Amino acid sequence: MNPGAEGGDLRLRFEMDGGFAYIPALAEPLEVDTATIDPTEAATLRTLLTEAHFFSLPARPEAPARGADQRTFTITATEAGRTHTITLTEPIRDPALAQLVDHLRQRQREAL
Amino acid sequence: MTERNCLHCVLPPHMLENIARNGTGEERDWALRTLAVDSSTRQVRAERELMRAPVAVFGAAGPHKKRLIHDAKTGTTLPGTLVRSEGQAATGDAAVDEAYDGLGATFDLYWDIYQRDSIDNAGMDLIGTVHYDKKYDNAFWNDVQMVFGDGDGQYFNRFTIAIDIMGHELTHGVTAHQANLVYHDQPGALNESLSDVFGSLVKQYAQSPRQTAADADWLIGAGLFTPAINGIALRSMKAPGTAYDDRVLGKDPQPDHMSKYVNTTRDNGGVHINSGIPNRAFYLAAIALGGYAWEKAGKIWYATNCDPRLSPTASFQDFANLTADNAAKLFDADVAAKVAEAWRQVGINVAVPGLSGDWILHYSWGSTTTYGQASITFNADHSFSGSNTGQWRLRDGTLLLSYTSGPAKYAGTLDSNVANGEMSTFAGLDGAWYLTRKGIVGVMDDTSAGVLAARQPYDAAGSTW
Repeated sequence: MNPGAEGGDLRLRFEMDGGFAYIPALAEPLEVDTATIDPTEAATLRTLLTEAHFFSLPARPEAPARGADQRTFTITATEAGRTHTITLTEPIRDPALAQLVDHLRQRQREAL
Repeated sequence: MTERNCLHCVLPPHMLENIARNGTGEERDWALRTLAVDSSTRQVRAERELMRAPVAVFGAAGPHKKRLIHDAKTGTTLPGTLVRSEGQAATGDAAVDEAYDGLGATFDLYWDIYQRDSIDNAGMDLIGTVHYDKKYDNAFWNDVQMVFGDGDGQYFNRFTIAIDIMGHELTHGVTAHQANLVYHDQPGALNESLSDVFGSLVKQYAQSPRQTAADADWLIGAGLFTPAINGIALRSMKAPGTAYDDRVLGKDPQPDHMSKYVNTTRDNGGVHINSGIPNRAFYLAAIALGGYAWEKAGKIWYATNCDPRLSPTASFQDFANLTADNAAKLFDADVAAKVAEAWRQVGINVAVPGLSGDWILHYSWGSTTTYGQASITFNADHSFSGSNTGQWRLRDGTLLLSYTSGPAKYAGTLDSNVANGEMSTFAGLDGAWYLTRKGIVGVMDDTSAGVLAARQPYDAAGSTW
């Protein structure tokens, strides 16, 4: 099923972890239910997921980078009875995934 | 100091490549020849072992300090556009110049004090990128280079604002080439702590005048928060858990003692949280040892990062044990005791290497000719056992014994070489006492009070005089 399709309820959970300046309060998980948010924003989220081919991705779409202090992002989406989770470590190489994380990160900050 | 390996035949390929790029003409030729003829699996297998110990590639050639600062121009492509190379004048861009200066100061500390030639101890270029991404609230090491964000301007200023941040990130590179501590749970927190430790030492070393342990603020990321935040820094090594207490950010979650260790799956098992415990142990050791923190405590911690006995999965206890052992090897039992005491204060008991094994206590109450003997073993938790039980402490070269039963409390000077089984003499107020390692055959020197005949032989088993 195309996650960008209109209609069905989509739920998202976004977690950010780690970083040189890791502060638990700034890393509170974000939960979004498209049934309860502005329809334009709901459509944006669906588009971002579609462009990233979210439900087709492996759990670790990119090999975790070596190093330290990079932040890790975990995104879980549930739609039409299916749930999929991916984990990414920065720097994120796929532009569509980077855009998805940027958007969710911004929403998370606004929720503080 | 950990011994340096002298390499005669095998170098990791990346070192050879580095030499091929940056060495003198003769060195380049040699490196290129070696790269061409030796790509054997033996070399690949040897790489990891070689990287664990400090290596001097060309001792006479001196250090290779080469900073290359790039500008990502708010993008995420690394390394970005080169904007300042080694030796070039300041650009006027604060982030560029702070990164250049901070990486330079870190290089200087490692070379001047520990004779380490850059991240890999083989003159690796120091590649930094500033203005990474938009409103980016982070700095990181990606195994190749260091990256610094501009901060969001709301909670965070630019991540080059504090010199210890450059020291922190570069030290992640050093640790990756040495202990290679895995980045989760306790080894991850040790990895983080080492970066805070040497980040703070860089700050103390770069001050003019240089700062002693007592004068330092022991803050990580001072100035990183905007004025909107109620906090003095990101972390405090002196008082973990007190760096900030803010309406939005909450309270600094770092523990300062093992009893407050945070069990969590977040942040790779709390690597930026539980690092408060070893951070404070280092601070306490540095204060107890006095003077400049990089001279003793820093040398001990650096030697431990380079110690092949330190496993990539080391626990706090493992690391603490090795710091005490390295303190005894680099300095003496007194320094080791101070390091052990620092760990004890954060809830980690470390045996003092100089006091390990079984001992015989020779004691005399009011008599100058008759000595009793008691077996005694010093335990890591500062208890002693054997013929009697009690508590021991070693402070400023003075060994203190307090018995569980009875009023006896002994205090005396401990020779630094006691671990070698040589004589140590102790004199209490109510008699005289001596401590010798069990099984050591030797003679006991006369004491100033004349309680024993000069150089009187004694039985190693401690049974008779």
